[in-house]
Amino acid sequence: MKVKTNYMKAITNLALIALLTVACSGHTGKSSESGGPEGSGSAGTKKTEIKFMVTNENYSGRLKDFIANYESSTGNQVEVQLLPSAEFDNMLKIKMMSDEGPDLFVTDDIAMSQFNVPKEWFADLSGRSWVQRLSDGGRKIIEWNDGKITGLPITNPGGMGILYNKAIFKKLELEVPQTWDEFLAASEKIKQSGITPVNIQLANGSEFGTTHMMHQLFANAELNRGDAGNQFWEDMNRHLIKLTDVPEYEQALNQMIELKDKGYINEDFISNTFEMTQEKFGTGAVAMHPAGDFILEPLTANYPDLDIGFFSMPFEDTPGTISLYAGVGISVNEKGKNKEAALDLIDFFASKEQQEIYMKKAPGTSVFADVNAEANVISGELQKYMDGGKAFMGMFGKYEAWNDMDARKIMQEMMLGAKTPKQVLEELNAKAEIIAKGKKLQGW
Amino acid sequence: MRARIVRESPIAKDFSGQRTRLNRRSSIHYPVLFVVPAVIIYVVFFIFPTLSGFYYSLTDWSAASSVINFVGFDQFIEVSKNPDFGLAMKNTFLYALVTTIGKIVFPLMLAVLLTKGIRTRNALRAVYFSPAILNIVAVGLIFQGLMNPHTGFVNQTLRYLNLDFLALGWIGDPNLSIYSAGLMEIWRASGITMAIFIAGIQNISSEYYEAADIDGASRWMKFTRITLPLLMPAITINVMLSVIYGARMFEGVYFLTQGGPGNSSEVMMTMVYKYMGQGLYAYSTALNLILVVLILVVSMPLLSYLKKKEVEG
Repeated sequence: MKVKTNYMKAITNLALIALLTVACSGHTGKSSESGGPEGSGSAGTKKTEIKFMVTNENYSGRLKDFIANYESSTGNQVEVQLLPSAEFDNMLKIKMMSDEGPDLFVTDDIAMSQFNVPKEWFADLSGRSWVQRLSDGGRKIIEWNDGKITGLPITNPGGMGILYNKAIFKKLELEVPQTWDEFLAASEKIKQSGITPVNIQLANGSEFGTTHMMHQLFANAELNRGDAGNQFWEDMNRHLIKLTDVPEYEQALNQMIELKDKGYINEDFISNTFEMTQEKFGTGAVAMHPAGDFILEPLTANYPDLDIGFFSMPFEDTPGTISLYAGVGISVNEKGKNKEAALDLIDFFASKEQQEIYMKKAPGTSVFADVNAEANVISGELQKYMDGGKAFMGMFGKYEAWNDMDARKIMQEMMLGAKTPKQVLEELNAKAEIIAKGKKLQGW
Repeated sequence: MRARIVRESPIAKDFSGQRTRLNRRSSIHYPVLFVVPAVIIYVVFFIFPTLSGFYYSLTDWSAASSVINFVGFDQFIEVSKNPDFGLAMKNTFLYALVTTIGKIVFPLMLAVLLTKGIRTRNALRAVYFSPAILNIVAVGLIFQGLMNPHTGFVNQTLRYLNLDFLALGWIGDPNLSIYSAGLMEIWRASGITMAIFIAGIQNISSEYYEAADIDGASRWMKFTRITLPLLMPAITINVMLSVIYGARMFEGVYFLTQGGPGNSSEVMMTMVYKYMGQGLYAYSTALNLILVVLILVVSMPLLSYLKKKEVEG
């Protein structure tokens, strides 16, 4: 009898759960019709729930505000699926491979994503009307090697150059150096004043502070090739040109070593972290640091009176170039269940009005020509480099066989004196071959 | 017994035969029922992944394509061309060697001391064993802070004591980083080997030592002639576990040095992880398989050698 009672209870519970599930499904389904008076939109319009997968770290306040704007303007709902960045790539991969991918997703860097993520995941946005509004520089930042546009930045795109403490430069009566010799002379003067001229960071996890210097110096290879820049990358990607064949790369690494040999670099570089860098730069213990505008937020929060300038690191007898990065991008899943609604959301995001609201909350570089974005201490200068054709996408967004982690590790070895620039390039080339063969790239 | 057989009718005999067959069958079924689940789990979670791992190392499986082609030994050839492969092999065996020596010699000394009549021996045993219960990831991060060449506690203390010449680059010096990782593992895992040694020493009959005392043997002689030979089974276990664990170490290196500076402390498992992360699945599977084969090649003769050294207590 007891068993029977339990059996009856189980059946009753199951029936209740089934009823509740059916009752709730009307609110949590992928799309719903709102015809009743309680609907948020107009009667008869189709409401869609768009799934958006994003990392915790990139779910910023301004992104939340934008989503709220979108929902109130369209009546559609955005289901935000938040994941820590360490798990994000794997979870996205699993969902995409099982055809359960979100309608919208983010990638680490729009340009880099063309090499790190299967291209078939991305809906082609090149034909959207807002593409015509991209500035030349903006398009250069976010387009893939094949000219496709597949995403829009949700973090500000930017450039890697040298940040400098204007107060130190003013006190020592220094001008922004235009050649490598001038840079060395300025560094010598700073060193004589008891300040570390150039800060680099190579502690594990913070090595990007040194590859930023490398990338901006490497970008001179594209600058020097002028109109043949695209051909250069095509040849690089088909392995017709090896990393060891590019004289600018060896020269770039030689310049970095020269800084260390002359004592212009902080001695503790191997244990120097991103956080330590901010303190040193903020307190005026170092005069220059290679970085992009991602450092500005923590830096200005802790040192609001710091007067920062930005210039490109000179290369031989030229002022050099800036290396660009696209920033975290939002893209549409080609196989998404609500692809059209996701495309509409991107169109809404790309509108002049929304972009201006978005940029107002975190000043920086906009990829749109008609958006009045408030400049920060870097983006104003960066714009001049972009307008003057002196800014190029970093290796990570152009070279398919590139692995920035390998480069970061090799930078450690090179700055510790374990490898010469020639050996560094040979090793980078060998590692690029492993990746290229693994990816079955043409010509490798 | 014979009379009983004589009295049995042919029918009873048939039943008896059936019973015997049933008993025999159930006596076979019984252990089989216990073994089958374990065998299924072993096959599904070990044999099958191992064999498929071997198969995939012979393919071009990668994240770049959903098509998998058989490529023979190409991945192994590519692995041999990797500039980090030789260094990772060297570091793997160096790490296994250093940690094995450290995890045998130091804990053996502790075990001998802590089986003497020291009053605080139980408390000391707990203290020396305690690092073994810590999470290796947490230990790695703690040691990263302790061994930081410029801001770490170790070097700060040494400098404070005017021992600047000993304030080395621990995890910042490419020549030292793999040894620093080994040092951390010795500190972390010595408690386990010490516990096994203590159990082994306590199993040695006191009569041997009493006889040795009567013969006038010194402490050293008692240690080398009685303790060590009779402790060989424990030494064998500890050596084998330390060699295998050291050779396939990942977390202890990754969370302390991330294989750096540069690639100076790269070991085979950090390479496997790196290339798996880059989507080169077949390549990293080939690396893993090489490691498995090398562990077998080293550990099997070592086990045979150590077994020969064991004596009956």
